Amino acid sequence: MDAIIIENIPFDIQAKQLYPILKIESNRKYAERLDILLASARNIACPRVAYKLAAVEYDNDGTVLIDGVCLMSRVMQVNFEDCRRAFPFIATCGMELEKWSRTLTDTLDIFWADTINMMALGTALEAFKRHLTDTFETRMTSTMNPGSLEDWPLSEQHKIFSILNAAGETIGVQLTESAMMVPLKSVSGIEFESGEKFHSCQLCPRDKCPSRRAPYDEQLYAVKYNA
Amino acid sequence: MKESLISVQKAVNELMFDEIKGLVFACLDEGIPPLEIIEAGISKGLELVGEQFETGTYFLADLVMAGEVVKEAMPILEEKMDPGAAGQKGKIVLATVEGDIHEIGKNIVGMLLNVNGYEVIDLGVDVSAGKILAAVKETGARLIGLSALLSTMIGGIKEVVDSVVEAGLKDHVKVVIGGACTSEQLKEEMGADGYGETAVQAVKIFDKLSAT
Repeated sequence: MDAIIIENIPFDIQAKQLYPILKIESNRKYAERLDILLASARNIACPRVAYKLAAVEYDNDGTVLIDGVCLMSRVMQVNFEDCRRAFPFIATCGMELEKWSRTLTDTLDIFWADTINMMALGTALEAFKRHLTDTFETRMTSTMNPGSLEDWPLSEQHKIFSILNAAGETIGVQLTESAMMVPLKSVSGIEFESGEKFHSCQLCPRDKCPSRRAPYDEQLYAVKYNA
Repeated sequence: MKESLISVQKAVNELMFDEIKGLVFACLDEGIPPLEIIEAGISKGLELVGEQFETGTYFLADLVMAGEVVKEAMPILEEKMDPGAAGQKGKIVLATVEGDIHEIGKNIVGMLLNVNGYEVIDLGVDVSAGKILAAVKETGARLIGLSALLSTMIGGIKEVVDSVVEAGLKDHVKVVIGGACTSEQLKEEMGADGYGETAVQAVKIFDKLSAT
C-alpha cells in the first residue's frame, strides 16, 4: 500500500490556551506580544502526517518485519505479538512553522515559537489518531518511537523513512545522517493496536521529564520483555 | 537582610514583571550598591526559582519568565555599575554541537548563566569543534558549555573534548555537557568535566568549576 498523506489539518489554538502554559496570564504586555506571534503562526501553519497501512510479520528469531523491513527491538517483538497490521508514520508541525521560527532572534520568542510548533505537532498527531479510528476502526492504539528507549535506537528512524518511501519528503520532513528530523517538531514511529495502553515512559527511568505520560515501572522490562 | 532586597527576591521568584523595576529603584534610593542588589536580591530570587524548578513546582516556562523579570531589572543596575563588574564570574563559550540544531535548552542555560554573572559567548547551533576551540582561544574563556539533544550527536561532544586536549588546554579549559542524551556516565566516557542535568544544575556546575 502507498503512503497516505493527511494535510489541511486545522490549527486553531487560541492564545488563552497558551497564557497559562507560558505563565503570562496576568501580564498584558507579554500577552499582546504572544497574540501577535501566535497570529503569525496560525496564518502559515500546515501540520501534516504521512503514514502507511503495513503488514506485520516475524523473522525466524522473532524479529519484527514491517513491510519486509527488519526492526531491531525486543520491546516491539512483545508488543506486536498479536498484531498483523501496523501504521508506520511521520508527523510534523510543517516546514512553514519551522522556517518561521528560524527567523526569530529573541530568546523568549524562540521559546514561545517552540511551544507553538510543539502544539502544531500535537494537532497533527491527534488528527492521525482520529483518522485511524475513522478509516480502520482501530480501538485502542499505542505508539512506539525510535529513540524513545535504548531498546529501539534512534538510528532505526532511517528504517521508518525507508518503509514510507518518499512520503517524508512529500510532507517536508528531512532526516539527517545523524537521524535528526527537520522540522525539529516532527516525530516518527509506529502506531499499533494494543490490548492495553503502552507508553515508552513505563520503561524509561529518566525523572523530571516534562513529557512523561506514564510512571516508570521498574519491574516491567524484566517481567514482560526479558527474553 | 533589608526588606527592600527581600522584595526584589520575591519579585523574581513570583514572576512580578510589573513590579521589579520599581523595587530595584527603591533599593537604589536606599543607597544599596547595584552589585548587592544583584547578588542578594536578583540572584537569590533566581536561586529560589531554581529550587522550585528542581522540586517540580516550577516548569521551564517559569524559568524563562523569571529570566524576563531579571532582564527588566538588569539594565537599570548595569547603568549604575562599574563596567568591569558585568560578567565578573568569567567567560563561557556556549554551543549546540555540530549536526544538532536544537537551541531552546542552550538558550535557557545561556540566559541563566548571564544573569548569574557570566559573560556568555553563544556560538549558536550546529557548531564545529574547530569553531568552538577558536572562540576559546580568541576570548580566553576557560569554560565551554555543550548542548546535545540526540544520542547520535555525542560524537560532536567527543570532538570538542579531544580538540581541547590536542590544543594543550585540558588543564585550563573545562567542558560541561547537557541535553537530553547526556548523563553523568556520558560525561565520564567523553572525558568532559561536568554534566548539568537541568539548566539550574548547569549553573551550579559552572560555579563549581570556575572556582577551581
